[in-house]
Amino acid sequence: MKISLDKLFQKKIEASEVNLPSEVWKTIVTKLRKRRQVRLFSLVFGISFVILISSMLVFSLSKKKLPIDFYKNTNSKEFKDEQVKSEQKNNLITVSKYKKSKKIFSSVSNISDEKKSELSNNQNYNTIKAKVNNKLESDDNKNAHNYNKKEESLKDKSFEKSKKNISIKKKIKKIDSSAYKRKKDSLTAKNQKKWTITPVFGFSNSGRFTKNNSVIDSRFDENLTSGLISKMYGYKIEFKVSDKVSLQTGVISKKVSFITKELFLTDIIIGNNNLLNINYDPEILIRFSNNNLNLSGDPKAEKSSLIQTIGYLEIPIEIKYKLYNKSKFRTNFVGGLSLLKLNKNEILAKTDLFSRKIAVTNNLSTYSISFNVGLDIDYNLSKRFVINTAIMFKKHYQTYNRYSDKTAPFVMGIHTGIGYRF
Amino acid sequence: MSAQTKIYSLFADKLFRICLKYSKTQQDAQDTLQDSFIMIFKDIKKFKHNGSFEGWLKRVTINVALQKFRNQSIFQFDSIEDFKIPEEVVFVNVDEKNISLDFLLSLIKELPPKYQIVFNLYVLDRYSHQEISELLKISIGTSKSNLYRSRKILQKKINDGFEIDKL
Repeated sequence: MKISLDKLFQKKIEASEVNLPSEVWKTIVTKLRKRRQVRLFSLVFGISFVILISSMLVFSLSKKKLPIDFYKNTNSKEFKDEQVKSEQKNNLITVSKYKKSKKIFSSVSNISDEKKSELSNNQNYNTIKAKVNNKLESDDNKNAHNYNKKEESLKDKSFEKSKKNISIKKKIKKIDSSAYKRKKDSLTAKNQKKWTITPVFGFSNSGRFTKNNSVIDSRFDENLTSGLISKMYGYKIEFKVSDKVSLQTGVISKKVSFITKELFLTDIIIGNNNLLNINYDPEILIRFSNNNLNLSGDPKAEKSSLIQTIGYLEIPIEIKYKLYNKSKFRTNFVGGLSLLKLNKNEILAKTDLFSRKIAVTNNLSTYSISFNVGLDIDYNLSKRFVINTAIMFKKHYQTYNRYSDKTAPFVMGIHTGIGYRF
Repeated sequence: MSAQTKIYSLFADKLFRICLKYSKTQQDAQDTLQDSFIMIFKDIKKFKHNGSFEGWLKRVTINVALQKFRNQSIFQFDSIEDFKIPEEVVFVNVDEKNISLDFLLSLIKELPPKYQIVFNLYVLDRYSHQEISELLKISIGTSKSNLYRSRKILQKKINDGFEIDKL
């Protein structure tokens, strides 16, 4: 029977009934929830980061601004010059006042002379002359008296001025010494290194608070699972906010590893040999099992351990609070949170003969967070270099898609490094 | 029942059928469907009511499926402009009732990815060559030639398969 190829495909596919597993919707819901959480975490982390940076900048600027302004206002030379200028101005005012009075006096004399000539032709010249002379005499006396008084007062003023100058000089000296002291203090504060960058290296061990609850598959609940020691490295940046408080961030690469023991590697079995939370490499034809019977009933299945390694890139945002400070030692309490980005996900099969990556975990969140507390010890090698060691406890959250946070791991770690202050 | 659940229950089967055509395995199809629904719920505000909602859902799903192909870099189109493509209807000699969907899907999946995609888009999802050329950033000639070759391969496989059955 001849039929168009296109129509054959169209008819068959459109009329077909598909069997959609119910887990698909569950996975979609989980993914949507995860998306919302990631957005929330990103928001929280973003806000925390902005606050951290803003605080660093605000503290940095406010600390810098004060000594500069103060220095500007109390610069001994400028301050002295200003004081001297002000004093000179005062003196000039006094002298000009005196000159003015003297001028008034001379002008009065001049007017009298003119009046004298005008009145010389007058009939009442003598009377007027006598009057004027009397007036002039009295004026002269008055002016002379005033002049003397002024002279005396100037002398007094000059004495007072010199006295005042001495007292100003003393004051300037006093201000100079206090300005110098404060300037010195401000310079010391200025010279204090606010930033420290520390490359760190360390080790951490992982664990879980839940027991008999495998995050690989419920079939392994009874198998012994324990944490493994892993390396960690990265760098930390610290900003000293005050003598007691510092803020720190950085980037750290770390791993969280668990080993599940007493398992077996069997041949691939048609049927239910898949584990809930891991996806096997399609090229691998072996499977984990807690049963040592092989496909054909051959009890020679390879004994194996399952090693789950989860790698993270960690960005911490932490506050350091000084607990104890003596000469070169300083102990701090550290608290904060970290954003964790998944960057490694592998399941290794480890036997006596080999260790090979055979699968990946399928229930890990790309982004998760941890809450961190710890103790941090600084030992000052010099003004610029410091040995930093920290013992940290970090509880992870939102590690898995399909498990509650109770199953999320915790990490105990110690890291150390030599920091550079600037 | 939330709006999202309602959308899922109404369209999941139809979209899954699309995913099956573009995926190698059932598991891949499920992953594509999940990613498609995540994308749909994320971008639902972008739906402008210009066309049908179902059409928009299908387009999103096809785009997600194609993106998976692109990410795996498993298809590369040869630029064919001057190739003369015969405009003929391709027939097969089969009894429609004796042929299963799984068999047809397996034939599609056996096609080289570049033929598979064009065949799916043109024959099953009713895209025009113009739309295919824009979607895949290929020429109309390339789209037509890939369709022609995919039809010929499928015709041969179906006819051969039934010849073997008859023997």
